[in-house]
Amino acid sequence: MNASSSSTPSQQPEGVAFLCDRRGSILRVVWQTLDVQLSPSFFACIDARGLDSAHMFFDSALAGEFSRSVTLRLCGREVQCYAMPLDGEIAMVAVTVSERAAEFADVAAATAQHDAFRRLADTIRTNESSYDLWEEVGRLNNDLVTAQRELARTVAELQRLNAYKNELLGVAAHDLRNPLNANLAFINFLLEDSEQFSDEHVHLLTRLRTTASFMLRLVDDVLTFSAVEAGVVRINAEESSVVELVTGVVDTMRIVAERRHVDIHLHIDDPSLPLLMLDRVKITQSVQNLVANAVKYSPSGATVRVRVRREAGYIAIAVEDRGPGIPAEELKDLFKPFTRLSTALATTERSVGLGLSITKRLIEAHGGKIDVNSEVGVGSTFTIKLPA
Amino acid sequence: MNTVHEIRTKIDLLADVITDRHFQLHPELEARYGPIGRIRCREDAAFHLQYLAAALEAGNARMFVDYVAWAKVMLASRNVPPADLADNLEILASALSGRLAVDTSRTAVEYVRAAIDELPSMPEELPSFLDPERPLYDVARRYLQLLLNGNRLATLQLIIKTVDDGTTPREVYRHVFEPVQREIGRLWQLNRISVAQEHFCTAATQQVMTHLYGRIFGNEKHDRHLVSMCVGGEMHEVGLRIVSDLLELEGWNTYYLGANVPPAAAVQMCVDRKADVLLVSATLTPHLAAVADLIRLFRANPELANAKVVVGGRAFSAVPGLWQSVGADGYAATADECIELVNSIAAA
Repeated sequence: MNASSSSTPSQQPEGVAFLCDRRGSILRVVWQTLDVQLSPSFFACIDARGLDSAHMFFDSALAGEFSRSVTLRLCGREVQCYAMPLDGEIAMVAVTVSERAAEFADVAAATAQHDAFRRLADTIRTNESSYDLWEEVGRLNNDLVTAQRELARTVAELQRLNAYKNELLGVAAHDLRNPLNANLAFINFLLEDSEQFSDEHVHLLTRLRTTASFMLRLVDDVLTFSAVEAGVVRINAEESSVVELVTGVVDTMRIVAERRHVDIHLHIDDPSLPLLMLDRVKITQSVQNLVANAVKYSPSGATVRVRVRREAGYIAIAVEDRGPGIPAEELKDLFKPFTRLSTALATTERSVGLGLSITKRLIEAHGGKIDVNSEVGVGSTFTIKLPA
Repeated sequence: MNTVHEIRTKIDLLADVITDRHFQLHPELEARYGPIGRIRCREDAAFHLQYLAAALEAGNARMFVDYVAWAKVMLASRNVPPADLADNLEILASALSGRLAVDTSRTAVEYVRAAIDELPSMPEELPSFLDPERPLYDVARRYLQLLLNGNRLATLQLIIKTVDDGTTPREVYRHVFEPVQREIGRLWQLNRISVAQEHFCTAATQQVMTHLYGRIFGNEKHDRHLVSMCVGGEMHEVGLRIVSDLLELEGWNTYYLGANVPPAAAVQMCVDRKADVLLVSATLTPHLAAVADLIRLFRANPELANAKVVVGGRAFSAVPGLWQSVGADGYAATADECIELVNSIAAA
């Protein structure tokens, strides 16, 4: 550390300026005669000579900090101390009156180590860091807003693509439906007169009918799904009896269930349940979906239990089966489209994985909800809750 | 040595010389301006030199004259009278002599003299950008007041309500965001708000804009793509954001890159996005060289042979034809002009 000094007698205040590091070690000292009375103008004086202020930071928001000072009693005299950021360090400035330049080095050393001065320097240092952070926050905000913009653009693009996909699905399914129906009609026509065919031909025609029926069901599911996804499903609500709807579904499904040696047991807790505003076709489709699944996954000789009951604010339709159950880790994806369960592999039934996602959307379109309880090896219970 | 580079490398030295000389000639300034006077003086001298270097680089004195006109308003509002600015410029002119190559020095002094000559006729005040005759004036005024009060949530509520009541996002952008942002810049220039307030207002407006994105990006698109960006890490980028969003509303697929994308990456983005137009904004004239460099890089890519470059921002507004000198295909001074220009390019 070199202190540039000369013995300049003066009647005016003189000052010592020094640069010190965080630990209070003095890096550089200068002193000079001040041409103004004790005032922060000292900064300007040292700026031109002792310390290079090229990188001094001044801003109106922080200008107040530069007039901060503390008055200390050091080396037998009153010393006015200032601090300011400079070249990544904090410049300490001490101003006092003396006729002996040599004393300034002592003043500088005592000042640099003084707690009050160091606290002042820390305050300035913190402000300096705050400004840097503030600038960085500004840049980060710009980047954040840019990222938000890109995200919004991407979301809009995905929504557009999804809409195209639904439209395509709808058109494709609609165009497939008519020829499939015609094929099914032809097959049924041939099977009505099956005695003219060999057993092998009848077997092949029967398999053909099964496949065509499956394809038709798939097309119907896709049509419904694309309509629901596109938000164009219209709920034609009319006053309806849930008991009546569920009874109708069970009666229809008993025919299928009997073929599989599965029994369906319907239990109505309260026959005087209130009428609800429902789209009968869509609620029938939803309940039928659940009952068909329950029958499909039940082993021969099992019983599917359908129960209608009143719950707080809802009428609940529960469909309970004794099927293989659904692993817990697969439950979260159960109502997503095209979900295939691992337990489904054990059955001979084919599924496209749209039924439950359609059912969920149709129920939600009525303001209702659907949930499931399941245990592997025990069975599953699906419950539709319609607001009452 | 490149003349501009020569000035830039000597800015610190020249600023010191100018400041010393100024305070030597006017010792009363120490008392008048207090502790910050000398430091501000040096800071201003460095700015003068940076803008002078940019003007010399573009070979255009008007750029420097325009900067001085801006500085006159800014300094007058901070108690620096035009006479002090004139003195400072005189000292700057004399400081250049002998410290730069003769040709550079002569041209630079000519530019400074042109500014000094016009200084008396340059305005000291700026009219407000909020015009009672414009649509949504009351909303804009209230929005500005809420920003200045630091009430970010209320600004958001005001804009959402305005849009919910039937005003289109396009109208909000054109009649609220754009004039209010310009007004905020004016208020800073006139020393009526701090830098901190200016930054807060801009950040708050950016956040409010994000809440309108859902209504902007869902509209019908045509098959035109535009990449927009600022250069040099410029913080003044909200104007370009406004223009980009308005173009999105016009059906363009816009990709806003911000201010921190390296030129090579930006050009590659133009290729990847099959950009029809690159839109570049610069507020500060010292950034013009970066714009020119970017455009050169853009032109050198054969895959962008049919794409166009449009520039905008305050750096271009002072000097007619400056946009041509950086190699652009067009320039727009306002958001409306930009939309018209970009759409006409697409239609051509």
